[in-house]
Amino acid sequence: MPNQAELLPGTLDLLILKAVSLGPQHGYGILLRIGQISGNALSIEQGALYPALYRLERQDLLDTEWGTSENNRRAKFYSLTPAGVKRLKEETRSWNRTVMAVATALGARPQEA
Amino acid sequence: MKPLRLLASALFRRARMERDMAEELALHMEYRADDLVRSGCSPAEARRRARLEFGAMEGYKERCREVRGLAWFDELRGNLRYAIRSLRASPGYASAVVLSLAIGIGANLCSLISVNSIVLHAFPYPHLNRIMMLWETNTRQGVESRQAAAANIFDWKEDTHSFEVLSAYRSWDALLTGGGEPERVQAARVSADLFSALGISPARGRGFTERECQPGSDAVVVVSHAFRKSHMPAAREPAGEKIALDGRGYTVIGVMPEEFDFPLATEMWVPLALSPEDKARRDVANLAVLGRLKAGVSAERARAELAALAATLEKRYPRTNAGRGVEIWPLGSINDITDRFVLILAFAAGFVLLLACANIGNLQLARFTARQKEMGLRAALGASRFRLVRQLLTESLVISAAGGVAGLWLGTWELGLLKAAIPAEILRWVGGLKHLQMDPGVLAFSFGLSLAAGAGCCLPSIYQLLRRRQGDGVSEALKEAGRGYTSSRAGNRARTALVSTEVALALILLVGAGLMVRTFDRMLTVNDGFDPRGLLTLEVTPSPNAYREGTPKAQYYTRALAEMGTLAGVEAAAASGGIGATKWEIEGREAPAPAEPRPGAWAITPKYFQAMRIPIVEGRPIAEQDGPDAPRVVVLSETLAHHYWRNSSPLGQRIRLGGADSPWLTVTGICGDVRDWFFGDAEPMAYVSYRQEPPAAVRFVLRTVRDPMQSAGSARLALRRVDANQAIYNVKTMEQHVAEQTSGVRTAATVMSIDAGIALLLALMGSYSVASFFVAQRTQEIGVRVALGASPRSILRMVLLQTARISSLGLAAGLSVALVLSAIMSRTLYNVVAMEPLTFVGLTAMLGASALLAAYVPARRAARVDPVIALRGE
Repeated sequence: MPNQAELLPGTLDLLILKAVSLGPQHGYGILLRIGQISGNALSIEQGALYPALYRLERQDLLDTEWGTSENNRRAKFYSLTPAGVKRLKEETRSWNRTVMAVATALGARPQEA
Repeated sequence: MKPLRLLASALFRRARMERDMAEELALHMEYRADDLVRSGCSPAEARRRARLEFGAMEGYKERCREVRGLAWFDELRGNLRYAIRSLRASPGYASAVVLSLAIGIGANLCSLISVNSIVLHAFPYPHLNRIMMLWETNTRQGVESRQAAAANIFDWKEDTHSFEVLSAYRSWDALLTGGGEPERVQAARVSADLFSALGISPARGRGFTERECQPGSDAVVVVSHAFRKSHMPAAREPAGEKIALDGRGYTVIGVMPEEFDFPLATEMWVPLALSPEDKARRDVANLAVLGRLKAGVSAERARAELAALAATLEKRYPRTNAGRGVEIWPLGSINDITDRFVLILAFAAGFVLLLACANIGNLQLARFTARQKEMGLRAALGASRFRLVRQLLTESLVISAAGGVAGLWLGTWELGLLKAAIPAEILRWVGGLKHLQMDPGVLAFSFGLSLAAGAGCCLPSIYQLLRRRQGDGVSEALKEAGRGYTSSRAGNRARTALVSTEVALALILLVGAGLMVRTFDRMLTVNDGFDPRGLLTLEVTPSPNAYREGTPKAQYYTRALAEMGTLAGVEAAAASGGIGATKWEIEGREAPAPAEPRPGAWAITPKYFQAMRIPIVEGRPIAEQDGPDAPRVVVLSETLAHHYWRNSSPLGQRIRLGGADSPWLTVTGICGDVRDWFFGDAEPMAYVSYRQEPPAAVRFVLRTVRDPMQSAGSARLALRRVDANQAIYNVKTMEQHVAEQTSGVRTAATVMSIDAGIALLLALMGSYSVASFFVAQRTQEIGVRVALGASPRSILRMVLLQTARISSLGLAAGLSVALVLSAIMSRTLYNVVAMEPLTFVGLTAMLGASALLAAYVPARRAARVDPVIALRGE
């Protein structure tokens, strides 16, 4: 797919947390939702999603539950734990700070240097 | 908690997690494919693209597993597989370790089972520590009577508060008739509450009521599980069956459970029915007493309470109770001497295991040294030291599990041998021996022990591994390994320590076994005071309703001896039977002090001394003329006579074996001593004439010219000719009796010798392996020495000296420990086992010499080293 940005390291976790914060979702759903909310601008290798999901679950940021999907299949649904909510807030804040700083830095004019 | 839970599921629910993961990923693919189909792909193309977009499926799965903590599990699996492979590659090492451990664990399993059934669970009664045996003592006479008088027991019952139940019983040799051959059974008359005192109720039917403990209504019987199986196997409900004991009909009302065995070897129980006169007697002490303490009451408190009561009774009934006290003892302590033998054997087995461990540690150390190159390589490739430790540990556990399983098998087999070696007669009389069998708890414990031993054995290697610093470890190991076998100084120290320990342990076991064997030997060869060869024994307890106490019984014995005495091959026929001696009094002398010897009293027939070959030292034996109307006579044993008549002859003096109403007996002779088989002490004895004091039961002894067992059949027939209704039992040779008596010590000596033999072998193996190791390690050095002109003899001496140094360390340590331990052992076993300097010196020298001999083979190899080859190996 053309015009897709490579994912920065560490941002996948943030995107997953954000996607799940919009409502419990299974793996493929999370992938679609990330695409949706990012306007399909980011390229994620699909398989890479799962080790990340497992890691977040292990860190107690995500909770899992087996339920029934929209097409009546058994599926594993991920939702945010309270710790996950907190982490999302922190990460969002720190991401915004980073972006701002990087944008400011990139917007600097030569004579000001 | 989540990590823990995940780890737990990683370990125990691996399969389910794998399934879940596969399902989750498959669902993902399906969704993706569906979406692609919707956007216009063909289904086949959609599936292909979904797979492509997903990326490397197995790689992602592996990363998921890692996150989940499954990697840990996979490493373990890898380690296991690696361990098994590397052990397979060195079958010599693996089988040596498995064998050593199996021997150690097998010996331990066997002795743990013995400890479990004989020491810990000999008496399967609930709250065993509250069950007490009580008996009367006579402080003034130093007599320890095991029995008590009925009236006193009733007073104890009334006036003490320590006991929940206080119950009396008396054993009874009953004659069982009605079913073919008359048979002698071991019965007991018990008060109604004996079963409840022990906390066991009949498995079928019921026990006795108080009403059944009245004379006249007491014709009921409770039989043992074994008796029911052997005598009434057909009866579906044994209650209601009739049996005849001593000619009287009894109705079976219950069956005791299999584990109930009190008093030991009892086959049936009947009510103890005392008449009012019996109940009032204080002069006849013929009841055994067993009590159950109230919860929370200590034995000391009960003892104090009983002592106070006994003092009161002494004042109230001075004629009968003067000097009478009460002793109280837990039932559980009755097995005491057997327990001590069993525990000592358990310690010996423990030492064997330790020795096996030292041996395995040594083998592992050698293997570790040989594998340094491999370890170095693994470290160089990035394995952390702890990963290597885990690898060593896994390997150790794998092999010790194998050793453990082999050990359990070996132990089970050994237990079978041990059980087969115990004579049936002994089995009946030692509490718990009957129940010698595998126990799941002990099995599990032994297996755990083998794993622990395995883990312990690789500690020296792990220590070696961790001692190297991370940095130099790799290159050092690779460099060193390149030069062939080398070992650090610490490694050599560890090896030396292990082999010295082996030698020390082996010496301890050898000394222990030596002492046991000497003890057993002494028991066999001790001059018993009679000649057991060529003697046949038969026992009869004439039924009381056929033969009243006194003359009728004596007449029966006379007729029986007349029949048997004329049998072909019988040289002399005689009989003896115990009579109760309550006192010991010499006419015209003060009562003896409590510590002075008091004789056991036996009634014998005239040819008894001749048949037993007990010499008459002075005077004459009991003879035909000593009939009921003749003057009462007695023959005393030598030691007894010498104790009381130091400078004079007792002949013609008079003694008394009972109270004031018993007759005076004139000493007519002195005979040789008979010795106690266990301690070897001369037993003080007084022999009276069977016609003047007829015993209730006798043991016939026949001195035969040929093999005594050949006369057994005709002797039985002869007895049956006299009276076919009497049971004849314990028909065996005197030598069989002796073998039975000494079988416990024989078993102990055998087990200990086997342990010591194994120990010796293991120690020699250690000595051999360490010498070979040193030789292999120093081949080049030896080559240089030889090239420089050292003679083969000096090389031989060098290697042997090294072995001598190591083993003398072990011998010195072992000897000092053995000295202390055998002193303890001797005291624990009531000095039956004597400390013998010769045993110590001989075994030390023997072990030292064998260790040198074991080292001789590698030393010879060293002496023959060809310098050219050795140096080229550089």
